[in-house]
Amino acid sequence: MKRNCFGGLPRPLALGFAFGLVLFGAAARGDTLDDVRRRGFLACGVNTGLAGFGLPDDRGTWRGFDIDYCRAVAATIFDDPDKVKFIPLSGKDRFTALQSGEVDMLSRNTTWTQSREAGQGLLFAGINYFDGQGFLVRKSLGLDSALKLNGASICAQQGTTTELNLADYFRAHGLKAETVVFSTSDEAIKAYDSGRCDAYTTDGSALYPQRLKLTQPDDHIVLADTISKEPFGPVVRQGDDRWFNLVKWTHFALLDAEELGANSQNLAAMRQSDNPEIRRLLGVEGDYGAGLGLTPDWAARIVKAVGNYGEIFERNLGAGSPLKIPRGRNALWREGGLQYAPPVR
Amino acid sequence: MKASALRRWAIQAALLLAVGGLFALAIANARANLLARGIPTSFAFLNQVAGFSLNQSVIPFTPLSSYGRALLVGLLNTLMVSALAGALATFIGFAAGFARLSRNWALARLAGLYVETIRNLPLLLQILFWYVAILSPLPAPEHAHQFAGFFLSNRGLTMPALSFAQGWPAIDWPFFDPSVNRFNVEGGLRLPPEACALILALALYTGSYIAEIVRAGVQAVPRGQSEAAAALGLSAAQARRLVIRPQAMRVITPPLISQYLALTKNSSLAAFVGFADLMQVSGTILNQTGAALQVIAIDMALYLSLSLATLALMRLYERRLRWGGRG
Repeated sequence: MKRNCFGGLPRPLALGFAFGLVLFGAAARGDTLDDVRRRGFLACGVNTGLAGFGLPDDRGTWRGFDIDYCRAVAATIFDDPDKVKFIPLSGKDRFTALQSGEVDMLSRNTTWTQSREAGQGLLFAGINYFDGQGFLVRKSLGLDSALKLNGASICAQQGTTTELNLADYFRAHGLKAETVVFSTSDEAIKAYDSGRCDAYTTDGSALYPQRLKLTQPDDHIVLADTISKEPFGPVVRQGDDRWFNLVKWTHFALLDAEELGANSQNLAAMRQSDNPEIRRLLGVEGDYGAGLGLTPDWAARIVKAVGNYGEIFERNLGAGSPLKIPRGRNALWREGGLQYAPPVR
Repeated sequence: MKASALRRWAIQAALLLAVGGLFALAIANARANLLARGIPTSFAFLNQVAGFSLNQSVIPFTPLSSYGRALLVGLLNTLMVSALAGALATFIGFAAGFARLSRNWALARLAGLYVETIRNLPLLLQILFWYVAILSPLPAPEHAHQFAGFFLSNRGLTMPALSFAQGWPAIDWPFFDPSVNRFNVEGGLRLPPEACALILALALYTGSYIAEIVRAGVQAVPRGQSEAAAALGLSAAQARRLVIRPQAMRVITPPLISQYLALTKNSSLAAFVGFADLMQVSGTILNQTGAALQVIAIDMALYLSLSLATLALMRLYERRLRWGGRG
């Protein structure tokens, strides 16, 4: 089956074509990297709109943590972070779009689970954000724990792990709740805002930006409870190991660069470094790009375009952003966090 | 058998074989492609535990129920919404259709305004409009409007229901008691605002088309028929019942059937307001299992069966309308 991106077609039509190809196309496996090069841009599936992670700014330029991951992959292939086409996908559409070849990769706060890899033909290329699910409620309710939501109506986004965790959590504690699910998070948060639900639930990282969309953000609080593990990462199709490696090592290169102190500002100076780890990462010594189908300076291209992991985090989610999310579990392993990358050697 | 007849049969058989072969090829190819991509191809997922909950169900459903049962809940919800909206649309449509023919100028214009406005706006827009329009002015459950055991709040319309929980029929009265549940009205039967908005929008939208069909049907009966009825000494009411209506209904019924079919299919827009209809439940299942092709195939088969069943029922009714050598 051809792995082309169906250009400007509306998604239902593109998916229809994709199904047609599944039905009548040949099972030959394309090479994603070759396809991307031939096409001239990366087709990256992103969130339909989540501040900090993926949202077009007032000039229509996509910005965010997940967006920078798409740009990093484009930078390492084309040496140009703008050779990306961002395709907004809802929680419900994302996997079909990836499986059918409409996008080359997903970079949209998608939780890594067993069934998504073992049952749906997907591969997660690492964890770039450690998250957990939480609740947003009205202050006037005076709640201090999610366990006091017995009998409540709760709004959520359809087709997400959120929906399943919610059912698990209430079942495990012998509580009941009415779940009202919507196909996009925007519809869900609007329904919560209108009073349809007592609580809104989603991943902790999304609760803060979405609270700002409410008519009176100060009337709402995020409960302290975290009811699940939500490890996010970029996702690719199974069956193309080189492409999987490329996306995975883009993430690792971002982490290694932060750990070694290489950033978008000091790249030229870093090239002169005597540290063999830095020299290998930046392609001064040896050729570690060839095995990925890339040039020796593959990692340097990434850092030049989007900076290292820490820069991406601070710019979109941390101190340099309106969200001010602390690094927490997403700090480097040396600083007490969970972010750890294998070495380039 | 004559040679020409034989040739006709041979062509038919060859065509059937070719179409069948194409289908078989498509299915085998899809299977191979999906397997190669590690995407499940069997229907075994239907027996797996769903893990999610649904906010509207006419049969018992918990997160421990299977995906298959979730699909059944979705189908029943689609049926419920279609039946309620269909009945309401018929009532609105006939009323507005007759009103347009009324000699009362204001009434006729009002009906015309309704038909021309509603018919010319996209249905999805109307569903979203009614959802907001219903939800916004309604109070929270603790301040619900109460009337004869009915509770109306932004959680929907809760009504007394027949319950067999104790083994004998009893009325299950809804109640609001913060010590039992501070968030929602307990007991009774609840129609959530999502269902109300969907039913209202579908009924008004389809009703506007039915109104035009009714008007056209009545106007299709030649003027001479009512004049002849009057000449025979029938009163205006008798003429309407015995002469005009039977003839008009024969014109009205076929396009009316199409409207019921369209309504059932249009109910699939439910996902936009968070109502658990067949499409919405399928969307969730598709996402949780990755069995896209199977779920879509099931949906197509179910919608097709629904439409064919509606068609069969209405054909039966249409046959009853025929008499003599006509029609």
